[in-house]
Amino acid sequence: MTALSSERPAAPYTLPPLGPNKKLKLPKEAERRLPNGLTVIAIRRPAVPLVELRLWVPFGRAHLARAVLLSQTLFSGTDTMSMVEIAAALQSVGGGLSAGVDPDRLLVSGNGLVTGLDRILELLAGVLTGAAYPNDEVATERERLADRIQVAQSQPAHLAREALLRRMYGSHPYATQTPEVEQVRAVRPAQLRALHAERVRPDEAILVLVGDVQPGKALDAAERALGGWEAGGRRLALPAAPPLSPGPLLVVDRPDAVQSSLRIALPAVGRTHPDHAALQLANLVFGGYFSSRWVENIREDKGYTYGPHSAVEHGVAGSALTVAAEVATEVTGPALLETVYELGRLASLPPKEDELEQARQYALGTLQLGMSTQAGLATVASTYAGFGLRLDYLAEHSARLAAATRDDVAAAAATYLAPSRAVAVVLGDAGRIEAPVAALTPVERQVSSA
Amino acid sequence: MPPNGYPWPIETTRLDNGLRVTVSQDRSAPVVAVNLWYDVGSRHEPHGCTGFAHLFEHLMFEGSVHVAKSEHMQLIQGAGGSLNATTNPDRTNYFETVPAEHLALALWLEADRMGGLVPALSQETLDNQREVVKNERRQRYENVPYGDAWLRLLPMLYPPGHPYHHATIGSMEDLNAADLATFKNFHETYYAPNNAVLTVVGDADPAEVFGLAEKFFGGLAPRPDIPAAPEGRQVVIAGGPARDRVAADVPAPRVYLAHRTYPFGTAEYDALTVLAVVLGSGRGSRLYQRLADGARLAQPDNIGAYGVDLAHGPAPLIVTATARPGVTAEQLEAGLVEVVDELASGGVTEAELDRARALLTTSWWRQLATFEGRADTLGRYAVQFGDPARAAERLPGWLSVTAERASGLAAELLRPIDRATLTYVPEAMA
Repeated sequence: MTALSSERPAAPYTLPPLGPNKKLKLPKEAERRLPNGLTVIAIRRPAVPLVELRLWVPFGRAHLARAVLLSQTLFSGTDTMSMVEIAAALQSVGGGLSAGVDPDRLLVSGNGLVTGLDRILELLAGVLTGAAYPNDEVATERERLADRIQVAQSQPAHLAREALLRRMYGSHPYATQTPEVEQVRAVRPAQLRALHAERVRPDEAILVLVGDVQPGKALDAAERALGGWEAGGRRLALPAAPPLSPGPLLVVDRPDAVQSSLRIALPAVGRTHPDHAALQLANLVFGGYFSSRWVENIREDKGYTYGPHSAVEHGVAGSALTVAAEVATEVTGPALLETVYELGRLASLPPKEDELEQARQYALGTLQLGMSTQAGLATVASTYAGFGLRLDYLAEHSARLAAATRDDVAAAAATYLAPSRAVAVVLGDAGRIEAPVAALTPVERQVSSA
Repeated sequence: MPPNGYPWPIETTRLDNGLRVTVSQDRSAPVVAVNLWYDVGSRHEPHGCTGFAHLFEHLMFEGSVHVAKSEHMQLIQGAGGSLNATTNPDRTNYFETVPAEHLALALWLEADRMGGLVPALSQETLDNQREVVKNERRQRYENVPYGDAWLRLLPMLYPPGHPYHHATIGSMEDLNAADLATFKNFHETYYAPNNAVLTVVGDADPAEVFGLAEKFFGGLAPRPDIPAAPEGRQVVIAGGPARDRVAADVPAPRVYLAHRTYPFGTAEYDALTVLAVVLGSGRGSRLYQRLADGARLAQPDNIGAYGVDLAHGPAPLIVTATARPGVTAEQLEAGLVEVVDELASGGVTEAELDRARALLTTSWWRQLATFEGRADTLGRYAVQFGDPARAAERLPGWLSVTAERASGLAAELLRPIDRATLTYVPEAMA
């Protein structure tokens, strides 16, 4: 312990005792399934005079380029309103709506002043039932999307992620999550109208509204606006994601890069699997938050990187643990060495009691913090609903987090964090990094056009 | 009747050592946000010391007299909390959000590093964090297309010696030269209770917070003679418009137009904020309608206009667009200039103002939707305007901007002679 500075006395010495954990406070969800199949969930959270909206529409196995372009043109006009009119109408109630797709779903999200909720729902309904995909707007958005993909192709983080996904998923739809520019350019407006008619349907969709609302009234408002959205179309289920198949580390060349993008994937399980809580804790101890072993090692101790991160990612068809760091080119080999070391250490030896306790508190606290805002609560409620769960599942999950033992976490780490099960990619200046990386593990090289 | 922009209770006190404390209670979630604004930023850095305020922010997480290296993070995260800190030209802020029962821990940790950082500073932690910051610089500014635009715009807008002349991230050269004694001196100089504001928002009782603040911070000595940053309100400009053209590894030409405006917090800057929304926020905006939807010169993404909310000098307005394939940098610049010049000569319409008001209302409430957002806002108004309650003025300030005032301001500020123009072109096109 360092002596107190004489001229500037520090705070009283004793660390204040931590209070007992407060119980997880779960907000009440009001829920109604409309005759057309749409599930509506409303939650009151009056913090500020706003309302958050999330609409989840299952979209698995949709044609990638068309699905992405559909999400970008959903708001580009109806039979009665132009794109700019829709945007201006939303903005006049302080609102905005946007859509995005991933391999699981189309998600419309947005917010606005709570006094504008009826108007926002009315505009949303207009789009869901009458999106016209006007030829000229589709042409503009198609170019915009092509441009954006081109820009993304110059970003190391994007390229590394793409290479990792291909390596992880092979021929599964999850393997490619960004379409090629040529595929985007080939999409015709008629194909978007057909995809909309087939897949943008209420049958299995879930709408979540969170904010300064009376839940009963919000459900009524949603029913008034969206009751006329017609059921039909068809639903395609995704096949289960294949297990990872470990192999040589893939080196993707990006000549003259000043940093290398290191990406590793490991197996994981879904939210309701009995191992999930222990796996989540194992990931936290390894690298899932700032106070983890890996961050302590390669950032705090060695200064190799600014923001390393590992996370358990969940998709409807499967889950994976991913590890990512941007490291200075000259320390790529050492950074990989430390990463494999930390994975192996946790897979081989149980975590210490205090490390586990800290990770547990962090997991429980972030659950609480994640739901403390309207936007956070809306996202959590929508995500869980998309996986067939409701917020009350969090009570069960937090009980599992609270009960997990060192043995449970060690067993999960041995199963899921073992470096021998990893799939790894490094994007960087191959001429400078390949030899140091090859000293640690077999490599193969892919030449990138970027 | 304009709305009150801060409808929650605010209680304040000042400790004998000058530390100002603000509490805003809200029991809607069992969480508290703790925030410390220190009135020191990169504007205080002398020549040759760029990047020091930010590198110092990193060192504040590396241990203090009673807290071992990395323990600050471990204790907060181990209490289920989240935390971070940021540095900008004006100030440095440190903040954590924790379950309400861990309030005392957060305050104790902040007090320990306010009062007891210096004895814990070592050459080893300095060297380590210097490398982390250099990697941050690479990741955010160097390894990313257009990533250094801000670094290039500042010296075009503000002359040498002006506190905003250099960017907060600093230069690699200065970072490499940073020595331990300078950092010890930096802490002694600026990290004093009378140079800071502590704000707590959420599920906490004001009397309890004031008691804890006295207990943990009350014994820290004030510093009587904290040096001011160089004066920045007056900007002496030599010559006419500034231009820079950069050939770089970028996918398409991009143009930035920048103007000096007024300091954040003035009625003029409120009008500028409204103007920026009219000009560049979303698909209803002029830039979008004219350049992305209309003339199709610009990619619909990466088009926009925004003010950077700096309070100690004329804050910048940045207008930017990226060329669509086949469009040259010159064509794009001409298009941008035309839209900006029209705003300067023709002013804004009532319909545009209505849209801007609704958008600004939403963005204001979104900022205050989180406890940490509220704490940071109150800290800002306490430090920069002497009273956290003045946060309530901003939303009505925006909403009261008339078309006449916004138009007058556009005519005054957006003159070509006062413009800085930065252009990126792909190396292949250069």
